[in-house]
Amino acid sequence: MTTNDSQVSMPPRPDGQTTSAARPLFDTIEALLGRSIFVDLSFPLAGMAGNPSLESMRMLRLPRPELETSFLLRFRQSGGHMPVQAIDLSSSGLIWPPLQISQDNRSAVVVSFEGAGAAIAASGRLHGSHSSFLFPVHPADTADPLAANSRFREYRHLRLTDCNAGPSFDLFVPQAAPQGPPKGGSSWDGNVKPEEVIFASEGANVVVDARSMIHDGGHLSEGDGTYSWLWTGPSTHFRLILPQLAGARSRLAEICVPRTEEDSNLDLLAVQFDGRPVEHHVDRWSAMSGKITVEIPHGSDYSVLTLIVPKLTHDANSGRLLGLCLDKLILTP
Amino acid sequence: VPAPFHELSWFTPLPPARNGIADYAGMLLHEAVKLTPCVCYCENPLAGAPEGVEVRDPSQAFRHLTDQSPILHQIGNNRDHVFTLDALRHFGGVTSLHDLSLLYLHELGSSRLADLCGRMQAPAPAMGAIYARHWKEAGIKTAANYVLFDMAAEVLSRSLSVIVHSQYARKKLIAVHGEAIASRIAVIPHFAKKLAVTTSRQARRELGIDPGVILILTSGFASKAKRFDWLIEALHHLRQRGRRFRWVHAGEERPAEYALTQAVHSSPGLSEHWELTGYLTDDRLDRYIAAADIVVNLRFPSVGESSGTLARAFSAGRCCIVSDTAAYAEIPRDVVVHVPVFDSVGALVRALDHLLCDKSLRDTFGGRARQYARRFLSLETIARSYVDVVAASYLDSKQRAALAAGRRKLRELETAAHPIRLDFDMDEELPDLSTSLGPGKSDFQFTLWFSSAEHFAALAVQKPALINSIVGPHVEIDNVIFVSGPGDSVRGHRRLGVRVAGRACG
Repeated sequence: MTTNDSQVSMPPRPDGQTTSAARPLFDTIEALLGRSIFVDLSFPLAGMAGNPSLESMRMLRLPRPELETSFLLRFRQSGGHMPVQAIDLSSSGLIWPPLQISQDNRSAVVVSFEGAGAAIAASGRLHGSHSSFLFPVHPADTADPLAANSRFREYRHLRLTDCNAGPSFDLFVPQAAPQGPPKGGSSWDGNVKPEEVIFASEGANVVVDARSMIHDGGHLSEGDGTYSWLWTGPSTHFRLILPQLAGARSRLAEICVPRTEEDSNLDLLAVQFDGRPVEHHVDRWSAMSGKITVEIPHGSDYSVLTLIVPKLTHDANSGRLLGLCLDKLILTP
Repeated sequence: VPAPFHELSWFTPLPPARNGIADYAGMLLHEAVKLTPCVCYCENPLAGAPEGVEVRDPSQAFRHLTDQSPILHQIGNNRDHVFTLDALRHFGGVTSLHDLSLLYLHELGSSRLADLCGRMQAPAPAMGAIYARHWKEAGIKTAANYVLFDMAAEVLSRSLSVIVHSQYARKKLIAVHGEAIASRIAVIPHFAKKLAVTTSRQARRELGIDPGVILILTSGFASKAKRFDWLIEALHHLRQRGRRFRWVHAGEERPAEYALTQAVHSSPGLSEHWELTGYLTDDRLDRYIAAADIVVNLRFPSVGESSGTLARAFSAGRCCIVSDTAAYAEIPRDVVVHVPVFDSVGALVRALDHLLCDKSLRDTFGGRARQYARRFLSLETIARSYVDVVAASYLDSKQRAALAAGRRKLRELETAAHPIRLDFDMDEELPDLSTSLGPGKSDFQFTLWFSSAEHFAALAVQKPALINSIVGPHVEIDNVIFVSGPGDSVRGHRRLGVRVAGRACG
């Protein structure tokens, strides 16, 4: 998609707003900027800016305490196919965009943050890199408007509003981005209202397919772009980092288990949230399958769900130790 | 009495881990939670924690603990305790130390041999360096290593207080690691668990043991130090004298360590009066203890360990025979029969002979053992002692603050440590870097300067392991590169440098 395409799809509205024909968030951004690469520096707190159909490249922002860093870097994203890389924006050797992302010259880089404060803090290092900044609009955000004013003066400011009443996002696009910002919009100024762009979140529930799960298990997701699954194992412990919509925890997590080779893995399953035991319910579909439902405890920190099975089954074909086969994680706000 | 803590965090394995310390911690936790709220960080979330104790994931403990969180670690010398040692390193706390030698634990938990080599040099640098070099360079690791290098220094330095089970253990730690640690070591004896079944008749009925036979019991993993060789020889003599008994070993055999079955079968006439149960659950072990007439619990050499079976045998009022050594020597003389560690077989024969023939003598020792257990070793008393020690350790706010500041400083130093940089001219004597690059996890870079490439080649032929020979075994080398030096005005050519980068571990 080219910039011209995005302009075609977004005729300016008489009231000054731009419509995106209610596309999902990332699609809306691509319509604005052209082909984009999304780098999520809010990991693990936000994990997902608001749209599961396009995946971000999650990177862990350093510095952090050593224990937390080593804990979080054990996780792998994209169903286990990609490591979570660390990045230190304060490092003198910073390379941006990171080498881990394959960026062609025509792609815009959109970096997402958990809030305005983090984005402002990072903008000092990423300024001049032609990257756009994306972060959720928190009503209680305490980001310093003066700092924002100075950092984002040369950026165009767009307010992405969910027509389904979900969280809104601020998008700051550099004036000299390779694809060029959309016409219209406004540079950051406390007195000037941002240009409104409407997007549509994909319903209240967030569905994470196995191929998109961020986990610390030993096995990779299998399947294709249409359907994917993932076996837990070889450890009895399987941890998942749950995406949070605009940094907010969901209320309910449902994990679909289409198969296990050992029925006691559903009967005697233990579930932890953030390392503490939580109640769970198993809705059995059959002796060897079902859905695990967990009420997510309140909290402002990132969410780690752990499934612990009592037994692992040796798979003669692959030689792997298998626990539960998962295909979907459904999060309900 | 108000609970002393908002929450006392334990790091320990729990049952069903096949680990005596897990059983110990489970029982102690059951009692401690009556005194103060407790949570337990345990690798097995399906572990059998007592009611009211939440089992948490140790890998996410950092999300729940602060510098002020009171913590109790149960540390023993096996794989189940690797995570507790890690937790102590990160969070500090009070440690209940069940083994005085932790080399095996460090071996299991260390990814680098150089780390172990470094730690072996504290507190006996010269001897440690020699043994470490033998291990690293020749793969020589003897049983002596596990006695000589206890690896307790780190636990002692990182713990607010250390709880041990005997005065012997305390004295030994002070003797090896210095008087400065004395005020931080508390002695709390091993508790004597109350057995559900204490009558021999009931226990034997449940186990299917002849009520008329005199039962001698040994227990636990069959190790060399439990001196089955002495017992087998003594029992062989007694059989020859016509004494009647049945010997049950209530525990598992580790043939690689000590081939118990083979040893029994090689003693004529003994095997038909002997039984090996294999691993037993806690309840079943209790029944064997209750069914026993004589409990034999020998150790030599002892590394200061305490025996849970022995404490339970006291609780059940059973007559016990122990070695007169280490922590066992502290048990009052009228509570157990002590057997010397020299001429042990002869002494064992005499002791067992009298006890087999004299039920009243067995009952006398058993009665005193029961009294001793009730008075000093009750679970309630021991749990209270634990909570008191932890509370006292954390109430000493100055010490706590100083340690927290020390830990912060250490972290800062570790983060900001600049590598040591040294240069040596190889025209002179070979440098000895074992001291200047002593154990301590610091990065280094040194350069050996040779007058020419020929000079380097000559020395390399003369001393093939040149670099290894000048650094200690705790040193891990990351890379070696050649560098060119400034011109030598006398010889008219450039000097050759060998730059070595790595770290001094331990």
